[in-house]
Amino acid sequence: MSRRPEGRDGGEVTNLLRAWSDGEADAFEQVLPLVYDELHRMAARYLVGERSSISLQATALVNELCLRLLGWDPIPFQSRGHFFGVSAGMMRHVLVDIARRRRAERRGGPNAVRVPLDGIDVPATEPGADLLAVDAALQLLAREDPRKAQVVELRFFGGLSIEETAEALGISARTVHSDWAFARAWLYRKLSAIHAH
Amino acid sequence: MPTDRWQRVEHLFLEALEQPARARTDFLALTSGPDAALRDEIESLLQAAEDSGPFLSAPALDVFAHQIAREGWSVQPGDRVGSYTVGQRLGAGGMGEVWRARDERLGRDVAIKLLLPHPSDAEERVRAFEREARTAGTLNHTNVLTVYDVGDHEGAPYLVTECLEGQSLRARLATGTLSLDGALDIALQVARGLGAAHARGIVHRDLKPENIFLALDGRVKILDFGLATLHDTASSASPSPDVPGGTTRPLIAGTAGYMAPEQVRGEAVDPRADIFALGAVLYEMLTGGRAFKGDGTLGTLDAVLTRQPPDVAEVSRDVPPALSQIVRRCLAKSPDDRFAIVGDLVSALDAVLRERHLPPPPSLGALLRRPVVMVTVMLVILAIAAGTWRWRMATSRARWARTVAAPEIQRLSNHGDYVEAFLLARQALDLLPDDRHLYQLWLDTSIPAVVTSDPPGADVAVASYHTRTSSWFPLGRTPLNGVRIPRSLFRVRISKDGFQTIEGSGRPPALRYGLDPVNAVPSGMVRVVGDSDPIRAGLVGVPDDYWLDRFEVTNRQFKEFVDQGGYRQRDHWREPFVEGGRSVPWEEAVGRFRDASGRPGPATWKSGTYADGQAEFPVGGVSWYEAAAYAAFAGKALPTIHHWYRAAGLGRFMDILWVSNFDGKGPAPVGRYDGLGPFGTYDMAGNVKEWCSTETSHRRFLVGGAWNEPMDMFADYDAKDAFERAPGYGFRLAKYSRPLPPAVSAPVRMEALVRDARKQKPVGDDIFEVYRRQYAYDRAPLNTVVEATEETETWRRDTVAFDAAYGGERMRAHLFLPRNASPPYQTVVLFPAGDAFRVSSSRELSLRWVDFIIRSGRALLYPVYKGTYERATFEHIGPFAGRELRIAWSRDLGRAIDYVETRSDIDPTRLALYGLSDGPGTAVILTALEPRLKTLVLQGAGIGEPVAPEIDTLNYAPRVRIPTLMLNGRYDYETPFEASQRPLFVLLGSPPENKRHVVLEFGHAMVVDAAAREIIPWFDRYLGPVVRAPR
Repeated sequence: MSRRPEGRDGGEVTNLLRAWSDGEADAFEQVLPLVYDELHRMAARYLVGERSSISLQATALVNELCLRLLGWDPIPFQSRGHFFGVSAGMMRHVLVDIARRRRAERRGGPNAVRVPLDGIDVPATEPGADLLAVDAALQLLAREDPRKAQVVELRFFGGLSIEETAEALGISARTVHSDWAFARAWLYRKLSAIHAH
Repeated sequence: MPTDRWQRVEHLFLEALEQPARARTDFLALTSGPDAALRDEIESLLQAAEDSGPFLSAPALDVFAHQIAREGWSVQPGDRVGSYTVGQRLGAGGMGEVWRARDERLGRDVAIKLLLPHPSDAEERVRAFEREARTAGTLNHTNVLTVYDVGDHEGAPYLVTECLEGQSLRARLATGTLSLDGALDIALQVARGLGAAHARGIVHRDLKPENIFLALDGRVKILDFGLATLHDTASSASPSPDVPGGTTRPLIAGTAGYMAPEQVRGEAVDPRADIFALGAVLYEMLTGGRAFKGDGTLGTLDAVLTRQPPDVAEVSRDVPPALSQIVRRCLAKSPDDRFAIVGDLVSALDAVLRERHLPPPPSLGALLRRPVVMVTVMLVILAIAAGTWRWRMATSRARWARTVAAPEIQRLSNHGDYVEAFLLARQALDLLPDDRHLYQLWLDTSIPAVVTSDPPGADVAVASYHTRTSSWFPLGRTPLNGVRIPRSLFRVRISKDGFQTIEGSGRPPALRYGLDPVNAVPSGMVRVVGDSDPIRAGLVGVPDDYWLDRFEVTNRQFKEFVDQGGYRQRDHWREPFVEGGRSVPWEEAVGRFRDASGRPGPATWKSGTYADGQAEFPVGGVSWYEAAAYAAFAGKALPTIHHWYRAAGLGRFMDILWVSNFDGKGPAPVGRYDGLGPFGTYDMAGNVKEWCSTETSHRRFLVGGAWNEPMDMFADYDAKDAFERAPGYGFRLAKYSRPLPPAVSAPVRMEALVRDARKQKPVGDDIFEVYRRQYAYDRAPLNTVVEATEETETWRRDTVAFDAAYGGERMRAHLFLPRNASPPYQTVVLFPAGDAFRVSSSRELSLRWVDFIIRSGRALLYPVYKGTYERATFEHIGPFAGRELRIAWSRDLGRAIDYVETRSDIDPTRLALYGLSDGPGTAVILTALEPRLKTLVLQGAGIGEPVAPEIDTLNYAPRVRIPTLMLNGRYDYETPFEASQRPLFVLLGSPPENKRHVVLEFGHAMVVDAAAREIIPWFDRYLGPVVRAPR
């Protein structure tokens, strides 16, 4: 996925990002491979570092990415909502990708429980911690009800609040609330069933 | 587009959620009608909603980050990276992770910093990083983290460095401010490290508190040189100007406030950028706040570029103007306005330090109690000071340290004035951080410890134990992890605003305190921190904290009980009166408790009251029953023996005895004597003995000793009939938060408390032969490697490694050769004290107890035995592991002697074994098995705890036939004289004219001078006099 085409100059990304901000949805697909590596590395830095208890929003990460790429000129996204949606989607891609690679690399298979030398048992993953399973279940949900899947993507992968999610999707906060309640129950049920096997 | 059915399910689900839980089933029955599948679907969703708990409530990024924090990012424990085996993850940051690992070739622990994988187009940067890392690797400076190796692991570059214990400056700053001297010390060490790097053309580029490490031994190390080059990321997509020096866009994530303006702007960067960063760090150390702080990263960068931080002297009042000026200069926006080279900064900081310490600060005078010494030292200092105004200041400071401070530290330490030695060593080391000799003295007088309080954030200060004093030396603020404290008994004060200040006696290695708000402490009581480990053999642990009276109950307090009719009210007298197996009626029993004129009261009173002027004396002449009745009256309880001893202050250092009332003259007002206990109690030792609630064979324990008894009685158990009254019998009270478990309040058998070795017999020779054979080993080649050599004025040390006699292991030994004698040397082999099992590296071994041996012209062989220092084992030590350990020790000793036999500068016919602080008498076992030893010196040994017979000292003592000197402290409660020391001496198989038992006036720990006075003449006699080196 991460192609680094030779010979392209920096202007390409800038143009695509501007197109993005102007509402061209396709631009997202095109620019993603170009910034992917960078986002991957940034995500890795956040994931690995010992941070304070302030949780990081995906939006902050993407914001920073844009700043870096565009040389400190923040691009004005068409709307905050648009920006939120884009960030959450990118974050999902990156995290799922990282999770997939880690699973492939780790010894002992996907659900192995390893005991670190300090003797503390690592519990088998609880449903929410298995990002790949959540992603797969989310794709299934999207086939039934795309809006609910988007709500989950925005809230879980994007870290957005109910209000921000409402803004991103152009719906009411109450609707987001209901969608979220239903989607959580549905996903939980789906994942528990998988887990039970 | 969701189907109709889907929408129906959703709709019903949401409506059902709005019903009260009980009503849901009915609601569903009603609304889903005959569609059972629909109903089941919704019910299962409702169930899922109920079970889901925190599912998805934390964002994916956080969840993932936690998982990675648990599992590690780049490697897992047990992986091989190069020739290193990965162990535990030590930490992680934006650049990558740091793991502890084992270098299998050299058998040492290292730290591996694994960086995040580099982008494929960054080959050039990676190569530049490796080049720089290799250069840093050749940088051998005490203030730069030693780099051993650099490599690549599956696309992730890594750096192998020494493994340090301590904390980053960032972590240190988070726990509280630094002292001015502390900040100066750190800044100077960092500056020196930078200087060494700059001289090699390396610029750090990312200096910040996270990259400055404060090691436990007081050295400051700079980490991560040159790593900034690797992370100046710029994707090829960005329009970055091509800049010489390789810096493009700077890394964000926290570094922003320390980067020089030219770095922020992306211009060329030279060593002066590091000076700026150091200025920012120094600013933060002095003021507690950052120099450049703005709204987010951009705001901070803007501040760096455009804003001038307020003067340090304005923010923090005790900063000298010269220092403020230095900081301002470091933080000049233009590099040309800063110090041109780090060396200039070092000189400037030095000058500030000299201003503060010449003439030496008044506290030095306060430390030296004895007037004669004080005068002498002051004269010397004045003499130096007088002559120095024209000298190069650095020289005079070094001279002071060498000619005055170092010998004085040694003298104080040998004389037993440990806290004074500690404080002086700290001062001297602050001035001369690189002095090897001072550093060793520092190790000898201190030990790393952990001080915690609940709640944290309390100020900790230490002072000399022997007198109540007002000159406290601050250590920092809790939690303190790895702070060095005096290696002996001292006075410690814990204080925090709003909470009751605690003052108690402290001893290493772990001090834990529970703080209470000022008005939450019961009047006259102190909090004793519980522990589930018993404080002595035979007692049980008391896990809960409890209150204990600070002082013994006084006459005045007891009078309240009497005046309020205490002797008439049956309510208070809850304990059954039993004598000789028969029950005594209440009236008869209480009728016995009368004073000298027949009125109800303590035996020491007359006419219903105490003698004039004795209100604050401890009440004496009371029976156990009266003490218990008073306890009921006061709403408290008599302490159990376990509670009493927990709080008493028993330890290796029995200094409390010398400042307690054993004067034989009579009781003293409570608190008059200085004998402070660990939790703030007074007079636990001496004054009056104290009744405990614990029963033993129909008597009750009476502990602590009284004024009219010998000092032994503090630690020795005593118990008397509950009716008995004597002038020295008194008590103090405790208060518990909940009822005591049966194990704690149960009676205790006296026999369970102390092993009486007098009653046991060693095994016969045929059985002993079986034991002996366990220890044998084959004399395989040693494969010796001399790892390091080091010299001071007193000795030359060879650190060697050779094959151990088991398990394919390697072991290490340190051989100290005296410089004041001629080879071949007599050699004393050491078996160390408990600190060897608690300190993690033999580079930090203490020489306090063997320095005098080396100075007497003898070599000192210090093997690193299994279980000590870097060979620490973490296996559970049960009876079988204990046996394996002793077998290992015996073989380690054998190997170490095998090694010195190969050296021509060692005389193998003159070897001695010195067992230091050897409670269980291990050295006796080793000697019985090692025929090459000529004499044995035991310090603090006795027949120890009962253990398996094949490792019981009792069985080996008769097989020791060589001349043996036993040194013991009379007040050693763990190795008591009658029951433990003397039996060992008697059992030793050496001819009577060749063994000697010297009992000194100490506890388990004695003072070096006193021991040296016995040991050196012993060696002169049994190893022979030393041939001094020709001058």
